[in-house]
Amino acid sequence: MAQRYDYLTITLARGRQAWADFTAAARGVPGIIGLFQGQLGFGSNEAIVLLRDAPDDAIATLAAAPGVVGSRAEQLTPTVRPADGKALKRGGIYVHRWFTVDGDRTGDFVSLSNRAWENFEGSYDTEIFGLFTAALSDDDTRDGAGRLLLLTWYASHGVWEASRDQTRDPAGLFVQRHALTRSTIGRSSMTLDLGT
Amino acid sequence: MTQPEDNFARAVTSRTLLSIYDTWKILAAGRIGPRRAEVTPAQLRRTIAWTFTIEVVDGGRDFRFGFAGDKVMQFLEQRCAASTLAGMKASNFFAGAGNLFRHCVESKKPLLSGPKPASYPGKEHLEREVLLLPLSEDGVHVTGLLGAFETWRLGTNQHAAAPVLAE
Repeated sequence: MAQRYDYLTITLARGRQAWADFTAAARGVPGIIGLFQGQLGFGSNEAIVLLRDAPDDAIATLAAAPGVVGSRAEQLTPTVRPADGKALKRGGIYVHRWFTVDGDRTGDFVSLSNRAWENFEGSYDTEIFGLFTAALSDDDTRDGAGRLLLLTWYASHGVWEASRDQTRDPAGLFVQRHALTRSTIGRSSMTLDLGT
Repeated sequence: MTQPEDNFARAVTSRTLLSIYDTWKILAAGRIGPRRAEVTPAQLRRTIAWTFTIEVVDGGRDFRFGFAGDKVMQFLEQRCAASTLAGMKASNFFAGAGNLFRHCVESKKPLLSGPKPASYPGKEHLEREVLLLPLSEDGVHVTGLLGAFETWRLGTNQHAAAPVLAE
């Protein structure tokens, strides 16, 4: 049975103290495999938490932690990656790229991604951590859409920029994948050490 | 690219900074500035290395360092010893940076400084141009800055005596 992942977007009160309070509280919550601080594309008061097989009350605990003024949770199911128990890398950056695709083409999207990564990872200092499908929201059901989160590590923003050339190769698999995509947005982040 | 009547754009020497200014104008769409979350890697593509972000603390009494691109880090050579400008007070370079940050926050307008000689210790052989662009979470106050800078060997460009604000 696939491991369960939860992706929690936390809105913090302004100021550094809220970050410190939240980070301290997060240390005691089981199941967290990543705490991300935004670089580009996130608000300065947004924290992202990735959990794996967390206890039922973990999300509620984080949402009620000191410094938190809002939260939004997405339940994720891993596809071809990550492998069970895979850990996030330290250093570098993680790009969180959300895709909205036609709901009935999600499988094709995953298959194309998996084939494209082999050459992609060999060409750049990068590593795909995971591609996840998000639990359908009411809007997804109404629109016949599927949403996926691709979480990728890059050595730096410079590596990310350089890698865009391959994703735009008209003969490449990424362009085929793009044809299945209704919309996409990528945001960059750093992982914070929880000391666990 | 920017419209020919944009005098501020005409004052920018660096093509990289001009590209960032163009991107900011599109994102701002007539507002004081975009929200920080609207500035994504894709929008800054090919210019990320020259950019940085600053969070405005207490309305401009202090400033917290945020993202810094690779070129910015190469120039500074090391991470700042403190997370906010107040912690770097002893440095003339950061005192000057603070004046520019405050000027941008108070005016709520893009600000251009330089080209002028770099005052950072060990970088006196360079000249730099700095662009500061407001970010606003509420559309009323400047709550952050998107910054960009470029350097050249000293003597490459004509120097500008004073910062320029957008009209």
